[in-house]
Formats: sequence, C-alpha cells, structure tokens
Amino acid sequence: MDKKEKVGLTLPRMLFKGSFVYSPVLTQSIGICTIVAICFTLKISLIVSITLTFILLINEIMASLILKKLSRWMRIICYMLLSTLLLIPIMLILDKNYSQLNASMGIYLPLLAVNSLIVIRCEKYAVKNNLKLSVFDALSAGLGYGVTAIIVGGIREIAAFGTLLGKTVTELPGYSGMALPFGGLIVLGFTAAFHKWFVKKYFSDQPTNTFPLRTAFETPLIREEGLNITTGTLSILSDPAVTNEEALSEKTEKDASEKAPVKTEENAEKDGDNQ
Amino acid sequence: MAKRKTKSENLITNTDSVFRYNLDLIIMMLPLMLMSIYLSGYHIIRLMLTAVIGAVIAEFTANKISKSDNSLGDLSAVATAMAISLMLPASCPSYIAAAGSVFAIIVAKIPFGGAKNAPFVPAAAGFAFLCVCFPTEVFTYPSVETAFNSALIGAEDFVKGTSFGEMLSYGKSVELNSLEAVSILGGKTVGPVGTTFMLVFIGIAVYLFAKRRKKFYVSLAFILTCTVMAMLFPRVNSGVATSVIMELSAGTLLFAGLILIHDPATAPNRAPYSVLYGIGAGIICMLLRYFGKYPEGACFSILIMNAITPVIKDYAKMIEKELKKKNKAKNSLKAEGGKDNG
Repeated sequence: MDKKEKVGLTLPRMLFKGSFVYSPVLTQSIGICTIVAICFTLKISLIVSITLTFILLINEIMASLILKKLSRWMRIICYMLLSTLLLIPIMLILDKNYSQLNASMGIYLPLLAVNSLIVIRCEKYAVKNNLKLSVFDALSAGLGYGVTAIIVGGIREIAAFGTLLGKTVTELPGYSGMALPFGGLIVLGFTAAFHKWFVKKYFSDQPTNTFPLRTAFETPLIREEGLNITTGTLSILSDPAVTNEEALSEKTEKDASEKAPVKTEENAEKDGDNQ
Repeated sequence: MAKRKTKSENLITNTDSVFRYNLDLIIMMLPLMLMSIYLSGYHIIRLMLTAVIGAVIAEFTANKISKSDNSLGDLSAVATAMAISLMLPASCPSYIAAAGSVFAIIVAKIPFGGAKNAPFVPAAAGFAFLCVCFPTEVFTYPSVETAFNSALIGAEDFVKGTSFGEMLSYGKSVELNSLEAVSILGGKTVGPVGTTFMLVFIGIAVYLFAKRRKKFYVSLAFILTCTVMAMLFPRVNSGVATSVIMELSAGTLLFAGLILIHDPATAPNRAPYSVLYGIGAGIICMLLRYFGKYPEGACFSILIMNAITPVIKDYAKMIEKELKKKNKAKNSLKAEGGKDNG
C-alpha cells in the first residue's frame, strides 16, 4: 500500500474541517448543556459563542506555551482557574450592559468555565502541538460551536417567539415550548441528523472517528488513494498520543496490513482500479 | 445494545397487526366522536379534519424524506390525529390540533422508525407538546350550554366553564345528586371534547375486554390505581365517592387509560410487567395531578412510564433467566434421582 498522503494544515482547511466536518457539538456532542439550556434566542447564542471562543483561544495558547510542562492533573485545574478568571470581566461587562439578558442566562454562562470542550481540546490537541496549530484549532472549534449555537438559537427564537434579534419575522403563533430545554434537544437532534446526512453524502471519505484530532484534520478533503483504510481504525483508547508524523504513518500502514484480508467489496474494487 | 435487545422483544412483525390495532382504536374512538358531535357541534369535525390532514401530510412527506415505505396504510397516523383532537377543548383553534398531530408524527414517530418501534406513544407526545406550548388554549374549556355553538377562545362571546380538574385543584366539589350523576354519565360536563362521556367509556372497556384481553388488564391496572389513590388521598372534603367520581371524570384520565396506554410498541406485553406498567402510570398520573403545574397528568405519566419501560424489561429478563436456571437445576436433580431409583 502506498504511503498515506498528508496535507498541510492551513487555516481555511482547519476552520472548515474543525467547524463543519468535525463540528464539536454535532459529532462529538461536547458542551451541549449550554446550547440546550439557554441558547433560545440569537442574541444569547452570539454572546455564548463569542465568550466560549475567547476562553478557548486563551486556554489553548496558554496550554501550548506554558502548561505543556506541567503534569496532567495540574493542567486540568489550571484550565478551570484560567477560564474562571477570564469569565469574571465578561460577566461584569454583561451585567452592566445587558443586565436582563444576563439574568435570563442565569448560571449557565458561568458554567462555560467548566465546559468539557475546553479541557478536551487543550488536552487532545494544544498540549501536543505548537502555538500556530493550537490557535487554528481553537478558532475552528469555537467557530463550530458558535455556528451550531447560532443555528439552534435562531431556529428556536423563530419557533418560540416569531422574532429574530428582537425584530418580528412572522406573525404566526409561537410555540413557547421550543424555548424550554426539551425544544433545544429536539432542534439540536434534528440539526445533528441533517449534519450527519450531509457529511455522509459529500465527505464520505473522512474518518468517522474524531480522535485523535490530528489524524482527522490531516486527512485530505478530496477522495484520494487508499484513504478509506484509516476509517474506524484509530480510536481514543488505542492511541491517545500520536504526535510524531512518522509514528502516525507507521501506525496507519500497520492497520492497513492488518485490515487487508477483511476488505469490503468496495475497497477491493478501488484497489483494483489503483493497480 | 441493551436498547436494541429490549426493542426486538415486542416488535410487531407484520404491518397487518399494526393495521388491526389502529383499526380497533378508531372503532373505539368513533362513538366518542359521534357523542361529541351531539354535544359540541361542528367543532370536533373541524378539529379532527385539520389534525388528520396535518398528520397525513406530515407522514407522507416524512416517509418521502427518509426514503422509507409509505406507512399511511397502517392507519396509525389517522388514529394518532383522532386521539389528539378528541383531547382538545371545543373552543380550541384548528391550527393547534394540526400542530399537535404534526409534532407527534415528525418528532415522536418517524425518526424512531415508524409505529412499530416508536419508544413513546405518539399521541401522548403530541398532546404533551400542546400542553407545554399552549397551556391557556388547551386547558380553557367552554361552558356546557355554549359548547354547541361556542366561539373560539379569545372571541368576545366565549364563555368559560369550570372543569372538574380546575375544581379539584381549588378543593371545590359537586353535589352528587341524581341529576349530576346523569349529566356526568352522559358527558354534559365541562372538559375536553371527546373525553367526558362515562357511559361510552364503559362500552369501550367492554369492547377492549372482549377483543384484546391483555391490553384490557393494563387499562384496568391504570384506572384501579387512580381510583385507589383518589380514595386514599381525596382532594375534596365531601367524601370518598365524590372524590373518586370527580377524579375519574376529570380531564383525559379515562381516555388515555383506555385508548393510549396499551400501545403495542411501548407497553410491555406479558402479564405481570404490563400490570406493573399500568400501576406505575397511575401513580405518576395522580402525583402529577396533586403536585403538578397543569390540571392534567395522564399523558405525561404515560410518557414517563414509556421512558422507564426498557428498565422494567431488562429486569424482567434477568429475573426470568435466574428462574429458568433454578428450574433447570431442580429438573436435573429430579431426573438424576429418578435414574438412581430405577
């Protein structure tokens, strides 16, 4: 089998893949608590997504610069302390300017400090990569979270109140239940289903496993030779720390040789074509 | 994995039985519909037509989108829409009935794989959605005298009546004289369009007993539990009998208990567990009535019990396995003993 081809990690590619193909909310279902509980208007969704992106960015920068040198248990405490510190000024600004909104968000905005998205992204990516890639990753994850939050928030605001950003859109009667958490779960579920259908249809060559993130990012977008073999072979448990590129390629080769006897018909056909 | 196993246990294998079950439901709902035409006029036809049309269109398009076979033929969409429209008040606007049935089909039924294996009763889910979204429209009933040609809710000549559910939540009671008894039996009380006719419900219970004995036991367990709870913890001061009659005839308790609760895809099939399911639903229903926000609890209790059902089935399987093991051990011991003797 040929060597696995890799593509350079540029900002647009990472933004697209991290935010859409491997959307953290829709594929990994990380951090859905905030979206389900409070993202019932577009304004709140915007505030939440900007806040989260900001916290995530600072956290990943710190993780890739300084926190690498600490041991793991210490790092996780550091993330929480850091994000709590960052949230204090944001909460003060919101309290002064949007006191009503802040009241309706309640405890869920401060809870962003202990969001699982931050810890997972820092531990799985930022600690193992350099500053540039960590910043790209933070931006892409924040964008993915934000886009999902905005879509869900917009749909729920139109369904529940018939408004968008406070302006009336439809005169139809509102379904006030959609502003409750169960409405959020329903809208999020349908969004995830649509996302899965779209990705399966147009990006079927992408690995279905989203960990390790680096492998997911480095798989080229356009279908190329022999790439289907990586599908489903790498998982979180089997290899948590694939940092070295050589190690990665060796591993995929091994997997390919192991997997070779149990080929599906499709793969066999493709191999034939390649030869 | 565990979920799949439990689902395959009570899968209905052929669509024919789905068709027959839903046909039975529609037959049971027809007398209710006729009685409500007698009492509430064209309102029930208006509600039912919009609900059924909405449900049929929703099911057709959802089947097209999900590329599955057209399941309109098994009548489940029609039965769901009829059940939802019978639980609404006569003064309810039409679009609410349509919204409820569309929600039931698109959110509670098709994504889970159709009527054969939906984990929640679609009609109960649709009605619960309406309760949450439009509480004033769903729980405000027109008075008995104006029900026939009453205006829609919100119009000037709309006259609000006090339903039994509301009276119970305030601790008020009715005088149980013969006149009141006749009006309760004949359905001349304030409440949802199709759920106030006690005599018809007795007929439905007899039909269920004759046609589907197993399903009848679930309903019986549910209603008896509600009765016992009403006897033990009455909300009115004027005696146990009044409490029982008022609780049973208030809201959608009997309707949900006789028509919705024994959905074959959700309720357990075999006797001890199905009765357990009914008892649990009854207890939750009465608790929701006592402490809940809404005067109604039957549909919510059915949904909660649907969520608990897989757990019940898992425990049932465990218990049965152990019993089988014990029986086998006993039998083998006996057989060995017999051989030795011979």
